Amino acid sequence: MKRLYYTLGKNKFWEYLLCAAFLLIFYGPLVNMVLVSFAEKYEYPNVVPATYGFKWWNYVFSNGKLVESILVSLALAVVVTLLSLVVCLPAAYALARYDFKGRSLVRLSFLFTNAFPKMGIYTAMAVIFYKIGLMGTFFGVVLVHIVNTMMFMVWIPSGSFRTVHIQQEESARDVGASALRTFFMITLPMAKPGIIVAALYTFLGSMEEAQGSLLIGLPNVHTMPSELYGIIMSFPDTAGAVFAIVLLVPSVVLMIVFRKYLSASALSNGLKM
Amino acid sequence: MKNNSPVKLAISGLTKKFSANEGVANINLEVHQNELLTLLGPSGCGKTTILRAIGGFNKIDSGKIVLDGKEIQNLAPEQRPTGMVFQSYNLWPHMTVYENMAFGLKLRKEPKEKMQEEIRAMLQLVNMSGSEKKYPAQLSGGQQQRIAIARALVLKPSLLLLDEPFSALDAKIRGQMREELKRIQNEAGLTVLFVTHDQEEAMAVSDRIAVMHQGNIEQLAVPTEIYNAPASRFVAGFIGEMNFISHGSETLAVRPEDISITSGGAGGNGEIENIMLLGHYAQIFLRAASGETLKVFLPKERLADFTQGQRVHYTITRQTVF
Repeated sequence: MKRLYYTLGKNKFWEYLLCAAFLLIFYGPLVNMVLVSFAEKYEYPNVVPATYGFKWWNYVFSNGKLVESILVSLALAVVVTLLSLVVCLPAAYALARYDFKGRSLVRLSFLFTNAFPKMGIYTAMAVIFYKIGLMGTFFGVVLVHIVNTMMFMVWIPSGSFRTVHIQQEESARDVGASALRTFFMITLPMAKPGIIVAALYTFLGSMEEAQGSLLIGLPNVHTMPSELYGIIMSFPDTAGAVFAIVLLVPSVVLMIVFRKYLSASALSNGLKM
Repeated sequence: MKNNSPVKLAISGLTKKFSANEGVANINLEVHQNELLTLLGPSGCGKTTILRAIGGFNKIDSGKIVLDGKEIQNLAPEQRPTGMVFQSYNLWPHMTVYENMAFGLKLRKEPKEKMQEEIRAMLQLVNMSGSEKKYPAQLSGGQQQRIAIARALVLKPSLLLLDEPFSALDAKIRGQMREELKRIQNEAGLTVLFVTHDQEEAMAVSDRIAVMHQGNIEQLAVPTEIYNAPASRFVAGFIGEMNFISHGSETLAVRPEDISITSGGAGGNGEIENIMLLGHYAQIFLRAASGETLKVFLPKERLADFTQGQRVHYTITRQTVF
């Protein structure tokens, strides 16, 4: 240790130590989860499982209800993302371009759903959903998810739209493009990074949302996170670990595919007041 | 004389008010074929308002805009045969130079070979040959403005609208671009409406200048006439250097080069306060007998005859009375 300390120098030594601690804190639980998911025989005094195998993977994928919840969650996330793009992008554009009375209030209002305890909002929504027959429906769950993700879906693209200069849109009109064509061929491609980040947040947010899905969706709509509650309570840890990894896969894949868009600037543009 | 060529653009009674003080009222203006007419004035004088109204980006309150004999004031920007270049942010950063220039041509469903040929020729005209594959971010500010001009010209606009296209550039590049613009205008036979707040730039490129002040055109004339015979006190002060001398109830406007001085021995009617050499000429501040300070320009060869504090005779060789 002493040798290492002097070889690296004082600053470097502590940097490495800090880095090691971070790695352990960030990835330790993940590694443990992966390990546990492949465990077949794993009893108390052992630190690592005694034997490995696909027993619990087989269990999860042969359970029709669980597989169905995976498909439901994916379908939900896709529908929520597309629908909130359709609903929120026009609002984001209006907030970025038009200087109307009460603009900052409208902007702030999208924060409200994230500013109060969620359960209160869900309960209030449930009361209304009962009356209009949306309880236990797919569409009801979609609405709950959109309430959650609306803030990101409006704020971040709005920040991106603001980086598109009005002259760039006017130039397109000038050379013969209609307002609609200008939006789709000039404004939207230029704002794409922010929109992708927002869509990513929405997709992942929808994948992991549990509270609202449980309250509004049950007993008909089972999503992965809401199923996870049941699994954790009624099966060994190993099944839970498998399911958690399945839940993790879409996030990791999306992050890797869209990593070049995941910059701090896209986020901070959206959060500028 | 370009004044004899047919009228390309005729604006009559154009009014566009943003508020009681902002905007333009009852503007009448004619631009002739192949003419470069400049709208010149300080910021907020309404020059850009007029230009944007012609391009279709401002909805006008009243008046008529006739281009090539057709009223265009009610058309959307994309339906007007005008081409516009803004001060900056003209180009679309997610497209290459070629894609930028092809955008409008594609909308017109131009065949691909013809399109390539036209873009190549236009890039040559603006001295940007071979830059088709570059992205705007790879170009300097001056190059970007050249591409913006080329992009407007490739669509063969009936009228080119330039909104301070060189204002964001360095002084040196700005000078070059002026010369280029003049050359391109002559080569392509363009009719151009140019907006600037830079009177030197206006003098250099214009066939005629409309000097604007608080939403009105104060004077519309060829550059030499604007310089030599300003129609109002505002024009006299805005264009070039000017001495204003009160003379009873009148004000005399005198250019610094229109005051001639001779060394006056002990007598004389003025005293040299300060001499400054500014390249090929010198600027002298002269305290007149009346107590006013006059600015005088003197060729640098004559500078040897004068020193600071010297008594001199001055005479005014030319003046405008207001």
